[in-house]
Amino acid sequence: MTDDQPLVSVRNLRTYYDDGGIVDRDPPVRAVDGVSFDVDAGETLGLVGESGSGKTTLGRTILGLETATEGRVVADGRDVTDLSGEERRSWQRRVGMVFQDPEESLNDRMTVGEIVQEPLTAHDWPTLRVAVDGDATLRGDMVTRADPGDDTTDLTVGLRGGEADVTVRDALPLSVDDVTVSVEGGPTPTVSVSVAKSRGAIQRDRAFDLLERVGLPEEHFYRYPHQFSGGQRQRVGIARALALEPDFVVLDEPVSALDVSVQARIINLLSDLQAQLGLTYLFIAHDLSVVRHIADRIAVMYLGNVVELGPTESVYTDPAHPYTVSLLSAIPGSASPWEGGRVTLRGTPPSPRDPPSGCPFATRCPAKIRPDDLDLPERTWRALDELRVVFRTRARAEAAAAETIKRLVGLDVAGRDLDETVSDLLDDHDLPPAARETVAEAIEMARGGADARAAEHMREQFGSVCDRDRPDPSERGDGWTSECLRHDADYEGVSETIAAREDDR
Amino acid sequence: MSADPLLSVRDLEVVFHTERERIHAVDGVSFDIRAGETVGLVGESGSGKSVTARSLLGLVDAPGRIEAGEIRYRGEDLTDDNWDRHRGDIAMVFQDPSNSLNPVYTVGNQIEEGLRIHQGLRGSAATRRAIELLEDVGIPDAPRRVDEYPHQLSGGMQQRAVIAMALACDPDLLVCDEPTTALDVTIQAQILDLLAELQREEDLAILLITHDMGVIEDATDRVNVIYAGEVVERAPTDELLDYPAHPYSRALLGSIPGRTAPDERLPTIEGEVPTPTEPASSCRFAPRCPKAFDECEAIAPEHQRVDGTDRTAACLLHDPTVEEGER
Repeated sequence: MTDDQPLVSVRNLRTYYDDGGIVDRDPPVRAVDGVSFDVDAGETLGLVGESGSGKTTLGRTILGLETATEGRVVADGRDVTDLSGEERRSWQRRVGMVFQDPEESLNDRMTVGEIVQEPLTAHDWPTLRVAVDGDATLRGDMVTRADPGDDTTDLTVGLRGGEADVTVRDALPLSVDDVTVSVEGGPTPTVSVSVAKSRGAIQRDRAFDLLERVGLPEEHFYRYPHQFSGGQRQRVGIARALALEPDFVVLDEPVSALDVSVQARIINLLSDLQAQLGLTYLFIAHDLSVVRHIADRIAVMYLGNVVELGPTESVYTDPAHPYTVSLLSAIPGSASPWEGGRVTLRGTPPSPRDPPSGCPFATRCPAKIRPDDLDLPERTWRALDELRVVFRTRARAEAAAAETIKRLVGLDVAGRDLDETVSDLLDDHDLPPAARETVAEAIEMARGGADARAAEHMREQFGSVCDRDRPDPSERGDGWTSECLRHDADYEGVSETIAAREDDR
Repeated sequence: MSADPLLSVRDLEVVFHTERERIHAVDGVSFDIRAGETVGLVGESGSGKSVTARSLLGLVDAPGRIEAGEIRYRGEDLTDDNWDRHRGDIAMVFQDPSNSLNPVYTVGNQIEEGLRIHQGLRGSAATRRAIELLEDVGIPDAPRRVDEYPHQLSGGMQQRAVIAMALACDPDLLVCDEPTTALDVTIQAQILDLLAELQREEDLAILLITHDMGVIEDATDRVNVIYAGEVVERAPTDELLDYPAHPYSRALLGSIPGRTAPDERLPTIEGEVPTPTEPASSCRFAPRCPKAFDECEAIAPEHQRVDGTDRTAACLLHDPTVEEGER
């Protein structure tokens, strides 16, 4: 692999969960909805976002634990979303995953030793890759000829002077004395390799090595996970993920369930392991301070999309996307790098079954572009936005049976509630007559049970370019991109807008 | 702010009796909360912060028992079995909103239950008040939402509903046990804003229990740091953050990633939080303390004033009677 080639390239990846039964006509959940980025060898890419933003699904899809609906994940020139058989197993050996909850990700009926050894057993590890200089036929159990150019072979056999000269890779729990090599002469000699240790014994020694590496004493090999604290269990999870010597590890919220003092030790361990073993990390977390500490670059996810991606310090000190601004400003206390006031987002993310048609963040954006033809104060816009969200939420909620019956017999059930909600939202706002009429029309639709149409009507009349166009990634600097329409020079910038609106509120 | 504290906890001891041992989960905890202020209780898991919170409401279950100490609410000791007289004056918000709401009742039913018991409201008057409470906690479209079931609300909305339930008792003190830990950071910001707003409007006192120093920094006026069942430091929040006096507070603050330069290793605390099975006869932090000296293993430290200020730390480093040379 050359240095300038990324370890993993994700291109336009989509993962949809479709529970579309015959009766169930719901659209699929768009957990990952068109994501592209590279992971460079040896780096830590942080992946942040709220729960439900698709972080975990993205990580799992890259590893092949979820089936990609569309797009590619390219490693070594192959699309790994579409592998089977031995190719798939070989990809699985190159990747590892550490899960969030150490309470649930370890089998309590297995000893720590068995847990760490399990991937080794499952992959019949080791099959020793042997490099022989010169032409030779290779014989023996547990061995295979190394690919030419492979510089990480397990055994190297030199044939100079008729005597075989054997070296064993340091990381293996094998010494030269465990390996016997005999050579039968001839123009193409036959090299027979026999290993004195059984596969099981090698696996066991490997498990001991791994425990030592993650800082667990060897007697823990025989104990059960429930005998350990959360931090120790997470160390076991890390040892298991590293068993097959992966070069790429997805860490899914590895420290979220731990106390800060324990968390600090695990973060330090992960940094040490990365330096010692040359690992590449995809570090998924919702704690932005943890990611800032450990990640070289950061990808910010919202509703299945990566909205901003760039070098960690650049993004933290000068966030480009309004969602990144909101996230950073929401970090409590002095750990927040955002110097302006806290930008509190309203509401919750929309359903990934029914994402907004334009910019995914449009429904909550503090810097949303407003239409040119209507000049309203920001607080009135927010009230109108909120009313639209009320319609959308009502449209999605399953109607209670009693209510459906009342509606069928012609009772006005929604009416009274709705009037109250509308008056709460809009009573102290001055709306121009045309806008007032639009609201009245929408209410009429909702009263007739057409909540979705009411929301749509509001969107058509009060929406803007943000509701229509999906922004393209715009380059902010070297390898730094953000997807927001405000990056177009025609519009006022993101942070200026947010500052002005917070004053206006 | 009145001079007399609304709630005053003195030398509270909660012991859990198991077959093998007695666990002193809360071991001599004292603190005050005045009307309208937010007091933080910060510590790691197993430090006894949740047990402290539950004991304020008389919610400690067997095998746990309050063995000693006082919990004075407006001067009256609740541990003399006075909880029922003050039910509703102190309300609690738990960490996980989905566990605090009953899935088979509507949100409205659950709020109205509190209104019926504590304020005698029934029928449409109760529904009306429940809607007002949901609006107060910032739930949009409250007239509709009042008839919805918990699963129809998002996590943030559920926690708002739980807060509305707590407010239905018209409490003077709200005990919040990790109220934002299960929530995303943007939702956490919303809930912290909401608590601050409610406090301003209702002059609520809040006891905020958390492991998150950032939350402590944003939301509290004063803070108690708890370790292995004991309050080890007590200080105004900004002073604690500027200058933690107890070695444990210092270590805890140091291990937070946001306070260390990204390329540096995080300072750590070696070892584990001990389970206190005996009354304290030494400093419980001494085995992990970088500043520990011989005396620390022999004396259970009392709270001492730090540099002549109002803040205190239970550490021999601040004890003037311990000779400089012995440290």
